[in-house]
Amino acid sequence: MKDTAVNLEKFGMDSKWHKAFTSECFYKAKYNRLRFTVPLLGFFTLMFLGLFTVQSYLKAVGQIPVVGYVDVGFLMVMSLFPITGILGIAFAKYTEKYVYPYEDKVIRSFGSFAEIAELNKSNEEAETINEHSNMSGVSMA
Amino acid sequence: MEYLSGIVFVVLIAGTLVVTAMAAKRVKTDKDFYAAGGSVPGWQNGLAIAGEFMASAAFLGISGLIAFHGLDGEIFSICWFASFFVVLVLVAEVIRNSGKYTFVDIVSYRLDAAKIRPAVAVTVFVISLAYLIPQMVAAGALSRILFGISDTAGILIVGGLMIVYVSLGGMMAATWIQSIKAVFLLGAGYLLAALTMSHFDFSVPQLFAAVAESPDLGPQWIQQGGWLSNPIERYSLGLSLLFGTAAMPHVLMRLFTVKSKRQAQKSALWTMAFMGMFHMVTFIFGLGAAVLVGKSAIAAMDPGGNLATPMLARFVAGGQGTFTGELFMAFIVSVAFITVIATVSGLCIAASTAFSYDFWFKVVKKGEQDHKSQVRTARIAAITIGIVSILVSLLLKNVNVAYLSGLAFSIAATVNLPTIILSLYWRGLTTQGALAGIIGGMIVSLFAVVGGPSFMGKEAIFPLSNPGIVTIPMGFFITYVVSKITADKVSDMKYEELSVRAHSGLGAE
Repeated sequence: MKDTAVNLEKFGMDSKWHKAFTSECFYKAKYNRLRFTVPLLGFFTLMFLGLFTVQSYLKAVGQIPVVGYVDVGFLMVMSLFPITGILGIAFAKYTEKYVYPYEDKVIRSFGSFAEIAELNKSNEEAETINEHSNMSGVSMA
Repeated sequence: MEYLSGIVFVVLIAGTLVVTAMAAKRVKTDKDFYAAGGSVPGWQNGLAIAGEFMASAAFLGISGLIAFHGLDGEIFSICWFASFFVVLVLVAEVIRNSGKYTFVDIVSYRLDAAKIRPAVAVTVFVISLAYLIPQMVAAGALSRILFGISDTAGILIVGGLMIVYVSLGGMMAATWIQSIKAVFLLGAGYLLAALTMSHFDFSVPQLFAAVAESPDLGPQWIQQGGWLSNPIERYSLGLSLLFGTAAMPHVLMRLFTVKSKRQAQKSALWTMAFMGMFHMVTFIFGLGAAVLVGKSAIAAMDPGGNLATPMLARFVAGGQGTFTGELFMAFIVSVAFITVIATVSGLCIAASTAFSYDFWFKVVKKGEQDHKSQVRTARIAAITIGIVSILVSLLLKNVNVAYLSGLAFSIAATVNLPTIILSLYWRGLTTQGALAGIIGGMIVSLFAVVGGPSFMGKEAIFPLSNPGIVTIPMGFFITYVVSKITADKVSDMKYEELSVRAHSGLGAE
């Protein structure tokens, strides 16, 4: 990546980057990613703020015993391990289905032959992706 | 005990040196050195990243904290684990798509590289050293207790091995050693947890009952608030841990060792899986040590509580004076030492890359240097940084430098996070804004940590030991305000290119 010199003409309206940036597949890729990421991250942050609140300002709630001396505060901590894991898997599934097909389409539309070949090679589910990218209109999320 | 620990340690170190020698043969280009050839599978990279974060602080520190102060120490376990969710959704793929070896590639891509690269490289350098030195100092202190050697000898051994691993094998060796170490750590951790729980009929309520009914401990040990009595401190520490990891240079650097965005995503998911497995049982080590070994016995051997886990290992495997007890303790101690060495190696790579790649290659040489020369520069930088960190650690060996780790997280979250997020997602970011955020964030972080209770005790002029809740928003605010009042046409135009690279992988290297 050359970053020592800037050629402004390279970033003009005719550049492949501008065309890619204004393409529908790129818009969909970015929009689909952000529309899931932002609420997901918000929910995740609220979940942890809730934990910290139960451990501090609402300590009385956190100390309600559930099984013997095991209380709500401890169970909240332990339940956040699987919940966070499930959120992570949900994010991965979502991107695979609603983000990657559009991102791959950007590469197929504006990338070099080498990039497209690399994409095919590195893609573990090449057939699925080819199916998506060969469609003229990818089913919108 | 000292001889047995020494033998197990030497055997394990010999194994890691063999791995380093094998890795060194494969390091031929800058990509091999900085990014392990860029072809590490996602699961192995996840294991290596988990290895970075199952460091001595996690294995020894959290257990000691729980044994001495109760379940408040769990905040580190859950937040370190969950911080990789933030890495997964916010940075993993976009960073892999848009950089080459370091995240500085990304921020300098849009902004004036001649100004921004040295500034960010300095922050990376400071963060890495601030995180590295306390680990070396702690390793010196532990080696005195465990191997019966002086602090100086301990620091020299850890530092010397770090230089060997990094200068010969680069990221390739560090990745392999972290992966192997993570497997050892998970195996030893689960064996220790199982042996501990066998004393409580494998029942968590019984473990809790034993803690609550112990005359030395009591019900407050299994409740929150024993260590973090100030609620704001809890929010601040939690948020710093959750969001600071996504800006730690040695973590971000590992995202470039995989081939594609999909593998980067897998890395973060596997990291969560391995870290979750480990951190879900750390409370067993802490509470188990408090009940079975006893608080006073742990404090008698190490007032800092770092020996809670090794002492628990000896107890559950047969007790003091038995072969199995001493062997298991020796194994745990040796794994903990390899953990320290592997972690400082990762930090050394991050620091040396900040100099050799971000500053020397990109700024001084203007990107004109052949592969062999780049590797040579990287090796010289690694050796120099290794020697500097050994000397600084020796100078500070009798000083409490634990606050430096907090400083590292604070600077990462306050300085790097706004720069990364805003350069990827905000068109209005300017070079001046980013520079102001970097310099201002550094000053704010330094003031908050050095003026805080960790450094100044009761005379602190800043009330929080973990200042993230104040400094992170300030980092964003400074960057935003200065960007708003300045103009940067190039940054504005290059936003489109960076955005396309980050969110599609087009042009990814």
